[in-house]
Amino acid sequence: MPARDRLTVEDLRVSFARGSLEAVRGVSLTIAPGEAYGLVGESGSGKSLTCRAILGLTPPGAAVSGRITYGTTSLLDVGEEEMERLRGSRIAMIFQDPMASLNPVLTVGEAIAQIVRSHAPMDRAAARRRAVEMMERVGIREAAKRADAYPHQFSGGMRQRILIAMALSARPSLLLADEPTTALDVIVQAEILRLLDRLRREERMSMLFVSHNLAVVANICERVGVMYAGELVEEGPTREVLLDPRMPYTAGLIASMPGPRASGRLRSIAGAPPALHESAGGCRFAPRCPLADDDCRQQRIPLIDVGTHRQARCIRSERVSAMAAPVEPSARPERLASMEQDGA
Amino acid sequence: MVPEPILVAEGVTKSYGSGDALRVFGKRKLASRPALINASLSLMAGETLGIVGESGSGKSTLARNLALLERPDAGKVIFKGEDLTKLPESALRRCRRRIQIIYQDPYVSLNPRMRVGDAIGEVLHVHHLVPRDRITARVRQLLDQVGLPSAAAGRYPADFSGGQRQRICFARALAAEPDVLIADEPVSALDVSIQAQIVNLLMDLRDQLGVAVIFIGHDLELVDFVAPRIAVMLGGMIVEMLPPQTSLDMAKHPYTRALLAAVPSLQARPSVAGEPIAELAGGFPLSGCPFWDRCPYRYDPRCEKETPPLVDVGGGHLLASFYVHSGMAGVSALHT
Repeated sequence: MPARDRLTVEDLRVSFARGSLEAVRGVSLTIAPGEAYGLVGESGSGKSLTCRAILGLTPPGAAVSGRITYGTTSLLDVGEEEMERLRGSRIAMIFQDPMASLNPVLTVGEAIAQIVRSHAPMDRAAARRRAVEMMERVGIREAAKRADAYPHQFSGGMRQRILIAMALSARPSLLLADEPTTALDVIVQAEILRLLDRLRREERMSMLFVSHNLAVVANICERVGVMYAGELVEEGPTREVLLDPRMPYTAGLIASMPGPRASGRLRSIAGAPPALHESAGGCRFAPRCPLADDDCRQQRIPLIDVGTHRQARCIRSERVSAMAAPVEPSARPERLASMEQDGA
Repeated sequence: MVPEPILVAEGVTKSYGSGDALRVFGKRKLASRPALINASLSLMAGETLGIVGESGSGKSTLARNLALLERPDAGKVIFKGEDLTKLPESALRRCRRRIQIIYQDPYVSLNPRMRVGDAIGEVLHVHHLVPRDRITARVRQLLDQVGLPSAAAGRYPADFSGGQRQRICFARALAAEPDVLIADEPVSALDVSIQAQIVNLLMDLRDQLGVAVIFIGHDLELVDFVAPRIAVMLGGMIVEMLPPQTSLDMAKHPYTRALLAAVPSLQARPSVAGEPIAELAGGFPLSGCPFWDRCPYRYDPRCEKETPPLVDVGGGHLLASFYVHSGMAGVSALHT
């Protein structure tokens, strides 16, 4: 089924401990049919919780508010039974750790066939044929033979392929991918990314891809949202955001990646994100931001339009492009001085 | 005077799973490729050597054998002129603190029940590095060196973030006053903005203390950033060694180029990127080049039968590939 439905998240809030710890603070985003949207942020930024809230998979004790609609269905209002039907059929999800998501005592063929049969009535033989077909589609060689193997007999990358086969077996129109390549090495990661990109286009699926790695998202997502401390702080077409970030945090993330022939020190963002209970009055990034002034610290900063289809939660966004990326103070001041001479 | 290398590995080889464990279950001995085959390298005092390779290429095995946490099956590990593999366990214990390892995951490499100060102090105490009454002061100094407040000494690892925990691991390793620090994917488990802080800290400590560093990773760009000289590992072997002042563009092994192509990047790298290769599935071939079944340029009949020798192709650039050796066509020629 090609994607016809739009995912809309409005003012999503996820909090713990009766609202005293707010992990997701009013996130709004839209994913158009067939679009790949990357959600980027550090651990604790709320990106995974945002993703999980869509499928009602937040941990026990989490209070979720706001509105999430997929097509005409309001996902926060449907009952558990209806949600159960949606999961895997219209919306599927893959996770970071494929071993934890697979049943170790089921052969992978049985595991995929179970999913196939739970969404469409068919006999065992037909379900198995479909399972093998799905394994072939995700690039597992000798699929008919490998279908009888158990999860531990596969490498990490192959297990992730099996999870992708399971997720896609009921032909969902929206795929949620939560750091699906983080546990894999670069070669396997590159393969899985190519696979996801190909399958998404073939199936005309929408995708929400959550990652801490901007470069990974850059390779497969048309649009990107950057999260920081529970808030969406920048959003726009991936290329534009990466070429010309308008939020100092995004600029810092980009600058901290080692480029080809980089030399000297990596530019890093000093300090660490605020803890969940810290609720500064102003911009949550201000304590780490080289552009921050009193205005930034005193008022809540909304998402501001900074171009066509682009927003940034920054009142100094016009200065970001001129901003020298923040360099962490060195333990050796003389080295910093010599770096500046080098023009780094 | 020609400076002596501080650490030399000569033909280090290590196999696991000889089949004994499996025989208990009535299975026959499995043929397996050694995890480390004839690995040789040398490290000068204060030098930084990078080691890259995919998962399973033998990077961590090499690290453990260099630190003598495991005894190699064959080969020598010469530290300051002394072959560590010949030393009895008691003598080895004295040397061991000189080669320290930092691991990937700071969440599991610290004892959760031990206060940070005790974890660092233990090292000082065990190796008699400072008198008992000076331990607290030295712990404070080490914490300061890695950018943590002295109050950290009284707290438990759970109170710290991943980046801070890795700083604690650095302090603990430095407490032993090592000559060689092996950092085994020290930032792979950390967030991007924190990775940069930790990499900078490592480079600062190296420059301040003059400690030699072996920096292991699978992100070729990051390793290139930290280390002037890079060894590329594949199937337990070093298949390419890039000397200092050699940019990644000069990498010749098709595998090295594939590694480079696989690193997700914000910019395109047309001149450098190699052919993408398949992931390692089901282990390395038992004979021949460890890359022959995945190599996009396999053509030489020797590839499947013989192991290509590691030879100097100029200026200390070592390479093990029949494809490039036979000079048929440079890999780069195909891409320009």
